[in-house]
Amino acid sequence: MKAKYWIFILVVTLLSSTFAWWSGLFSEEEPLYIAVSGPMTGNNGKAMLQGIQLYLDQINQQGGRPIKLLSFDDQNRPELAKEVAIKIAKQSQALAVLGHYTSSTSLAAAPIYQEYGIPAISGSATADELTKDNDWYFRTIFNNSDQGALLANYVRKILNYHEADILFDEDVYGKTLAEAFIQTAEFIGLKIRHRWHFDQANFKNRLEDMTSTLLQDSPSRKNIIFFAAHSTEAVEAIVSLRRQGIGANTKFIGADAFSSSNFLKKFGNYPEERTQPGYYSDGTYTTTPFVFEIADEKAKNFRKVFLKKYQEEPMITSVLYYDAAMLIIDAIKKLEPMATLEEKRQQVKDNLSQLSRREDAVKGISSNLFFDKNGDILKSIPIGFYEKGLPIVGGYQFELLSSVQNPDELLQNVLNNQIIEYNGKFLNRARVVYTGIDFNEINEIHFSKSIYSADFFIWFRFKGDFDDDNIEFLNALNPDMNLGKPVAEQYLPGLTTRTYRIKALFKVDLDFHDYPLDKQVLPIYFRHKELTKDNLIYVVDAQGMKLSQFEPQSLEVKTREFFKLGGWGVNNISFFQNYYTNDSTLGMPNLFDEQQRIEYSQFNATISIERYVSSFILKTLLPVIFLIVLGYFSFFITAFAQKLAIGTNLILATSLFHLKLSSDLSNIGYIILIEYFFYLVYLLAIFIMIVALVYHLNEDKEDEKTQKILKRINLFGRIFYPVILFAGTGAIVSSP
Amino acid sequence: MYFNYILLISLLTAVMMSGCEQQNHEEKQSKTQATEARHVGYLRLALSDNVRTLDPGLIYKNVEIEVVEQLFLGLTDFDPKSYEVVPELATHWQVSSDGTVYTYKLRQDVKWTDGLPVTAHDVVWAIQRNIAKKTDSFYAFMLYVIKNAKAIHQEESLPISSLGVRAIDDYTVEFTLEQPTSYFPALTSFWIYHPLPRHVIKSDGWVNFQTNGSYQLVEWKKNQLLILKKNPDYYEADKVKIPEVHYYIVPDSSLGFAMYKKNELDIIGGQTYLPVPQSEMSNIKSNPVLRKEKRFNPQFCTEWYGFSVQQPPLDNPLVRKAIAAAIDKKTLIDIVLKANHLPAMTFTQPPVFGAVDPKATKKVGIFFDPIDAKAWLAKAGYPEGKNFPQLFLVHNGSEFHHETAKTVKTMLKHYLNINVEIRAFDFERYINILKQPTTPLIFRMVWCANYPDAHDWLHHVFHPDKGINWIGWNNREFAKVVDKAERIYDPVVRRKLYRHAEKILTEKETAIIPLYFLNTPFLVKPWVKGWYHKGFGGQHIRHWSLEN
Repeated sequence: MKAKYWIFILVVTLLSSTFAWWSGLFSEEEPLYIAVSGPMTGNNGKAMLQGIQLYLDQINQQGGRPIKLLSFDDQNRPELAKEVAIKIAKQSQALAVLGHYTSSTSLAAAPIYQEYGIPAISGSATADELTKDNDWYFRTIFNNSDQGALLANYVRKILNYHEADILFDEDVYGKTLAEAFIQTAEFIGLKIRHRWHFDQANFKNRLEDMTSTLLQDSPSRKNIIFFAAHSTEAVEAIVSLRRQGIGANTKFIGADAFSSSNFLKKFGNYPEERTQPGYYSDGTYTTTPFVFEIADEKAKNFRKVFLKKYQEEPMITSVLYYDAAMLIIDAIKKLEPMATLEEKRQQVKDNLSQLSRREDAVKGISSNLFFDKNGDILKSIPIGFYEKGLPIVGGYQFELLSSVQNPDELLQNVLNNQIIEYNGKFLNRARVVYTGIDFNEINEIHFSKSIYSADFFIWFRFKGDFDDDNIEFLNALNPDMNLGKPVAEQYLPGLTTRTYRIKALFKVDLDFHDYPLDKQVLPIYFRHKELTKDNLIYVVDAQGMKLSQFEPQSLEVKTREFFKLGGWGVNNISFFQNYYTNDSTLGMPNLFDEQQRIEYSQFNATISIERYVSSFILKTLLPVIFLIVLGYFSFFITAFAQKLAIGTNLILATSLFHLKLSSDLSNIGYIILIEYFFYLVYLLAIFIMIVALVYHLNEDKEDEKTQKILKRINLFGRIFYPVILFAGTGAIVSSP
Repeated sequence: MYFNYILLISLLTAVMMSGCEQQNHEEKQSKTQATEARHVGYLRLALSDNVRTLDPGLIYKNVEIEVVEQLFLGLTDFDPKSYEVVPELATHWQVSSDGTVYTYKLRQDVKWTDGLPVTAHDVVWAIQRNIAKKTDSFYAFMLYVIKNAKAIHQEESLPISSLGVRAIDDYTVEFTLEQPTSYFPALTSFWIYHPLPRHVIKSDGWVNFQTNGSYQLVEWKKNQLLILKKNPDYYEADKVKIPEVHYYIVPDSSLGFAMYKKNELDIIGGQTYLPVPQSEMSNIKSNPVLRKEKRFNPQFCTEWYGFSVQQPPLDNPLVRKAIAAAIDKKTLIDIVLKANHLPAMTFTQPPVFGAVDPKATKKVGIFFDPIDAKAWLAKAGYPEGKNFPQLFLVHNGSEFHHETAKTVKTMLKHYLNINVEIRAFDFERYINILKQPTTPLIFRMVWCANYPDAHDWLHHVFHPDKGINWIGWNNREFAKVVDKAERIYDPVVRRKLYRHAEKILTEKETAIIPLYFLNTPFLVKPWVKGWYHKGFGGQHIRHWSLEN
């Protein structure tokens, strides 16, 4: 009998483990694969991997089928990229490819991906041909013709040059950039005076030609040179020109190569730049694929998570490949089940192609991600410049126009250089306003009214003119509150700073669900009443607020000074800008079919505060705690009246506190954490009284059995009273 | 010739207007359209107008030219990319040393659909028949370069036998011209030069419809449908991939667009195959399927503004240059017209022979440059536009032209601080005003070319004596250059001469403001391979195929 029993157990165990293995193999838990290809031994490859892996980790944590990354090293060599592409397409289970890093490796691999039908997204290759006539290639970075066109517009319409010179590399990168720049220049009234081009072999000679022409030309003339070249050659050319006497009147402008980490690194090879950062690099303009300062809250969170995981600052490449991974996963999530690998790859590609409208965009870190007909991302291209050897956000940015204007207004804006158009994209000139807040005092929170008082300086630093009268504090108690008169103003050439002092009451969304373990966020939000994102972008003035990359460490001492609210401590202070969005047609029939989005740049300052729990308990709950302890003694005494009195007192005393709390925190429609504690106390009181009543009903009988029962009733109370208390408290505290 | 010109203008206006007036139609994204849809084994096209006749000597509408080009062969054809003249019925041709005699050798394997051979006599007979006044051929003027053709057509004083065309043998035809005409091989591609089946055409019309092209007509329901089938006897029948073509007469472009979306049509766009509704362009741009099917193709029309160059202050080239350089053509196209036309700096539209290459490093033409414009105006005596006399900007009445005029007015005010008054007229009055301007005028015009050679743009429109010359220009240097280019056969020299002519017209003298070269949108299903569209029609379906 016993042997049979064991055999039965063994068979059941074996069967169930076999089933578990089998179901694991074919169940939803089977991983899906994506591939990445790039220069994996270098920094750029590392940055690609970091960005992608960060996103995959986040996705895999959410459960579902795990996504695994297959990494391939192409060493930035086109011939190797081809081999890798074939390997990925033919031998791997990868549904899509992320990469390659350079335009030349991507272009080498592109025909293979097209032939074998595997979608690819690059976050770094900018050559136009990559996506043209290839439905399988997408990218999360802008292309060269957009960059070239934007730079020509920037030179003509923002920097106000009538003429420009060009030096371009004859490779794909340089040629496409130069072509786009020249073509655009032709239409917008920008003359190209000189153009020089080079390949690796004749670079030095061409640089000499260029220098002698410029020197003959009058080196002190106001001039700008566009470098359609990679950072190595560009840096060499800039240093050489400056050393040979081309003065500061000649400015330089370049494409994304100028914003790469290599650009500043190369300058670092020259002692002048090392001793005095900016000696050569200052005043050089550049496009950049991404700028944290003008990105929204998502980018801020990304950076935080990235820093935590990798203990280093994220490179722009990581951001763009994080976005690329996000797009791929979004497309994979929409896959239909039970398809072959080939069908799945096709579906992933089709799903990516479907991202054609702003409304359908995937919300990425660098922007909302959606594609044009070639598979190129539709987004604005930030422009920056170097100051003291550091990259700075340009005072004006061209932001993709997100709403349709009436034609007359549109034309007037174009004539006034407020709007530009290239390659079918409309962009508005947005003013960048550096904004800072310096708190003087936060000393009052009215919990019953959900308001708090704040006293702070606020400043705006900007180029040109900015209508700061129409700032709207979204959570000000007085909706008509305005900035008043500035307390300080400074006008430097081309740069204005205006500072105001604000002392006002602000509304706050207090969340008491966890009261008294609650953490509250005291916010100050503002945006412009009229100027949308394509006119105005706030940038956190980290330098002005002396924040180290807007991290709060340096604020700790300061916060102790301005935050004067008893029983609370500051947990975190955060400044960021985000975009407030509304896809409204404004009721206008001509906009019903248009892609319409109204976006405002919103500046946010948030102070997270935390209640000192121990002092709250000591001050508020101590009497109740004493009564609870007293309640326990009721199981040790026999007098019914006293027992009942303890229970009743417990209810009365607790309800007193409960009532006081309710009057303190009026207008709350939900049950807060401490109320559960009060309910627990009521329960304990009722428990005391029930036990007392049962005891009382039996205490007249003197038989042995009854006496035994009475003892047990008391014992029951002594055991279950603390059990109810601790279990209840535990449940309340640990409840989500 | 004037009638031709007027017709082209009105046709173009009609096309533009029909695009503007379409109602908004909501475009829903069709996720599965691309993957599920397939071709039906034959090509389905829409024709925007009724087909009146298919007689190559009598046709003039775009839709008629479209069908005739599939049914009949020309002596020559154009390469669809370079627009260079290539052989079709003629295998090769020779020109005499004085440039007045052209001899064409014909293919010997071409037959009419009833089996009879196509010969040089068919060519001669067709040209003699088409030039006869009683034939009333619309395009007879295209034959005027042939010796005595004009006199025969207009005066009927000469016998038809004196016409400069003859068959040397069954497969050799010789043309004698009035004067050296370097672009003659281009002219011989036109339907008016096509051989006709003389054995089935009697004085009262066709007895039997015989053709010689890659397709033959099998069904024709008037105002409704035409069905063409591959001609098995066509000399390159094995290369014709599409077995059947169905042309539906669909006069409404929004209906055509709906049919295209439902996969009931394979191509829409251009003047012939129903214009893509302008109101749908924004939706097409964001539709993941349709935006990949969108194509653009040049239409060989140049939209331009002319100056009445005899009227002060427009008699001063500096004033004209200032005005022309203050017009931002790209903004006009992108912002106001919301079209895909190409900004024009010169008059002849690339890539036709003799047009200035816009990618050439050494630029020719008048470019938008508000800074130079201001300087030129100041140099002409009107700094900041002060004391500039009243100017009139006139156009033939249409909302579309008015928008352009308004934009130009705004730009001139913005960049030069000069005021212009806009006046719109009906076409007849408009033409009369242009003939004898009494005030300084800037006027709107469009030129649509008949054949892809700069001669048809420059000589034809601006020659002071032989051209239409709306601007009343009398530039002898220009006349000398275009006259020389007409007579010389050497293509390299001709290109240089036309480049020089463009430089005089648009840059040195700035007698006109070229605004833009028309570019028309098309929607083409992905299974139509090898698709192309010629700037002035006449594309050959025999070069296309259907592949899923």
